[in-house]
Amino acid sequence: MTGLPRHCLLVVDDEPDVCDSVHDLLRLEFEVLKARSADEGYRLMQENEVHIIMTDQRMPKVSGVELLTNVRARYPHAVRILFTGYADVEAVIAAINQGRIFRFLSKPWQPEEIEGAVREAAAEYDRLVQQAEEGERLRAEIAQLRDRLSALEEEVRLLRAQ
Amino acid sequence: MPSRRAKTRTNARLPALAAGVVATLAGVTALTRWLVGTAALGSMLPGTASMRPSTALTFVLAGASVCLAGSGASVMSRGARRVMEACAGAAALMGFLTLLDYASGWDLGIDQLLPGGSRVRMAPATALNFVLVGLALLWEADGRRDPRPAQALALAATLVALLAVIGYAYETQAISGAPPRMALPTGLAFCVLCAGILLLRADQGFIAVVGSDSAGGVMARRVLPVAIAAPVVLGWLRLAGQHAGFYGTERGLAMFAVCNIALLVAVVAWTAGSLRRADRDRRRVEEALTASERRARQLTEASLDGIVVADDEGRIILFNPAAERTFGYTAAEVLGEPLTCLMPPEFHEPHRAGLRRFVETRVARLVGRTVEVAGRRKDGARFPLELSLGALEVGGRVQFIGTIRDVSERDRMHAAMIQSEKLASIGLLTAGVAHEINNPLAYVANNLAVLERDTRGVMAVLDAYEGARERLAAADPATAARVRKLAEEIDLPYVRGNLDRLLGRTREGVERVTRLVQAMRGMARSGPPQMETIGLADLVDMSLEMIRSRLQRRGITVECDCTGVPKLRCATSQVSQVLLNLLVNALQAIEAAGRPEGGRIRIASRAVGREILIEVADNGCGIAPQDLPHVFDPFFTTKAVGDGTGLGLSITHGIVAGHGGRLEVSSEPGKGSCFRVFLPLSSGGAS
Repeated sequence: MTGLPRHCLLVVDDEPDVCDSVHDLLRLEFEVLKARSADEGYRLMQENEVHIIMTDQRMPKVSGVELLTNVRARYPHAVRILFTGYADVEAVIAAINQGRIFRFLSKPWQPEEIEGAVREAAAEYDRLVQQAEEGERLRAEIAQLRDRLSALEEEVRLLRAQ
Repeated sequence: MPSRRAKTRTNARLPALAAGVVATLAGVTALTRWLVGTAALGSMLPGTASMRPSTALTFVLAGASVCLAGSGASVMSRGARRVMEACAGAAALMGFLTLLDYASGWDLGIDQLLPGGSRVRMAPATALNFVLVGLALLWEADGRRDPRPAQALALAATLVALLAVIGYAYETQAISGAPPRMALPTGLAFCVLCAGILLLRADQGFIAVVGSDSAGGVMARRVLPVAIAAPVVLGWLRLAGQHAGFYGTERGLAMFAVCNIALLVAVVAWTAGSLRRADRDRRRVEEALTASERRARQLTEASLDGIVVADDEGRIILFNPAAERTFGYTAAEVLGEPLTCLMPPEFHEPHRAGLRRFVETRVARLVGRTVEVAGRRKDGARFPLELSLGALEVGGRVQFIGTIRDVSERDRMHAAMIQSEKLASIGLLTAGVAHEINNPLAYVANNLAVLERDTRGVMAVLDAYEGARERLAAADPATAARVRKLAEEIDLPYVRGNLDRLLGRTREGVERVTRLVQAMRGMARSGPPQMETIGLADLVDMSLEMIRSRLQRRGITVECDCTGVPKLRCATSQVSQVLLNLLVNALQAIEAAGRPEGGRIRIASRAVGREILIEVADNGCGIAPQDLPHVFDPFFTTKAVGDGTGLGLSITHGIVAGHGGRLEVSSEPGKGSCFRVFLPLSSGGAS
């Protein structure tokens, strides 16, 4: 492994076999959490730092789009992937517009597809985090510079006063 | 077979017979009277002459002759005819001899023939009348002769008799010294006798018009009695007035003339009025008839259904434009021809038998019903038709009216609809099944990948152990032996060699299932497809691009003629998929036929009415006739297992139907197939 802390992936599907399968496929590269419902998914997200969330569209009670829309509001950094067995255009449109998903996968998928998608999602997450860190660093630097500027101004003012 | 004419004749013979009987009786009475010599019975009116014995005898002869003619059949038996001719001839001879007697001044003594006969000859007028009546009866002895001469003779005799009768009415006594006059009974008897002769054949000759129901008959029946009776009555009144001294001769004549004029004018005016009304009614009826005829013609001409009318021999007497369109014949070609020219050969004999049966017995099997039978067009093509057959009688003969509807289009649409519905329901079911398969398929494929990866990991671990086997055997021989034994049991080298192949095959199988499920999902698309207006050449290029390399590898040439075809409004991706499917099929058919000389695919297109026809023809292996009806059925395939899903044409059909078009196929095994796609020019969009 790369030595870097592994990304954390949450899979939500009402069918446990699908969750297990994805877990087995990706467990070496990622830390995979499994949830059998949207509620369990929310709970796991609170307890863990989830980087990527992947959900089925058709689930009892809460649909994948709803889940992703809520997740986006609470954890904007988590990269969102939707998959479904139905070529349901409306669901895809809603997922893109409301859930701002990163990828859409249709069942049945080829293992390479899902591996590729999740790797790209991890890279996207890193990029987002890096971007955020960069922003943070820049903001800190700006603040630092501002402090120094005000210190210098103070000095100038004192010198003038003399 | 009895005709109407003969019927009138039999009806009219009874009055003729009665008249004959009356005339005979008159003669017999006079004879009896003369024989008995009763003075009381001397004359009908006091002071008038009575019928002479010779006259009476002749009346018996003439009357008997009329009776014979009136009682017998239209053509008498030979014997009856002889007797009648003898009686009539005797009467005529009697009259002729008497006339000769008068003319020559000889006395032939005819009156002496009767025992105790006096020297009283019959009057000249009577003799003349007997000649006329006798000749008339001789003529009538043959009922087949023209009745007009006999009727003319009888009318002449009537006039002579009337002269005598009216004379008696006007004169009170005979002028002495004048030649002997016809007696009053004789005159009346002549009137009756002549009426009998005229009534013998009242429906023929001059008097036929009197009895007819035409306007002429009406007029004759109204005017004749007045024309005969008025002058007689008015003349008598005039004379009576003159004798009473009311007016003189000149004034009396003027009054007579004026009254005659007035009466005749009144009768003519009355008759003319009613004739005019009759005429107006007739014209109105004629107009109504014309209008009705025109309406019927218009209906026939404008009818969308073919209308064919035939007579009782099955010959066509009317063939409307719709029938011309249906059968391909013009009306001029078939009028007068037998109906069989519109039927396939096997219907000819049943048709003839049915026609004969109906005309003879009026037992209807088809008449009054609607049936589905087969028709035959001019070019010999057979087609299904719906026939409503009716019959009507015109002038005692049957006519048949057939309303014909060509139902081949309806049948074709019906079949296409059933096919579409079948495909739609199968498509829905298939799509539903596909969705259900999707979920397990997703993790099966996944798990397989995991299995492959992890097995490789396990093998790597095993390899690592293998490397340490020597040292293990030295350190722990028992464990080493157990490992070796286990490895032998499962034939470890084979398992290791086979593992990759096993996993690869499994993965391929799963991939195939995945492709199949994806194809199945295509059968029930959701959401409306994107409609675009596009030229057919672009569409064909799009599809060709996808398999160009495969076509080149096989050395297949593609001819494409899509010029001059209007642009098409359709779901581009779907229609190009249709073309691609058909091209792939053509390619595979050519591969199956193995044409070393090179395969050929021809794409042609043209506008047909409001549709565009796209033909994709190949010179591949063709489709067996028994497979042809199933090529659009889902999962029907003749390709080797794994080469095709059996859904391509089914999906193609679904797309074309969704565009409001249709897909047809024709094929000759060993020579090639041709698929024809019909798409409406302005597609209403997929539904």
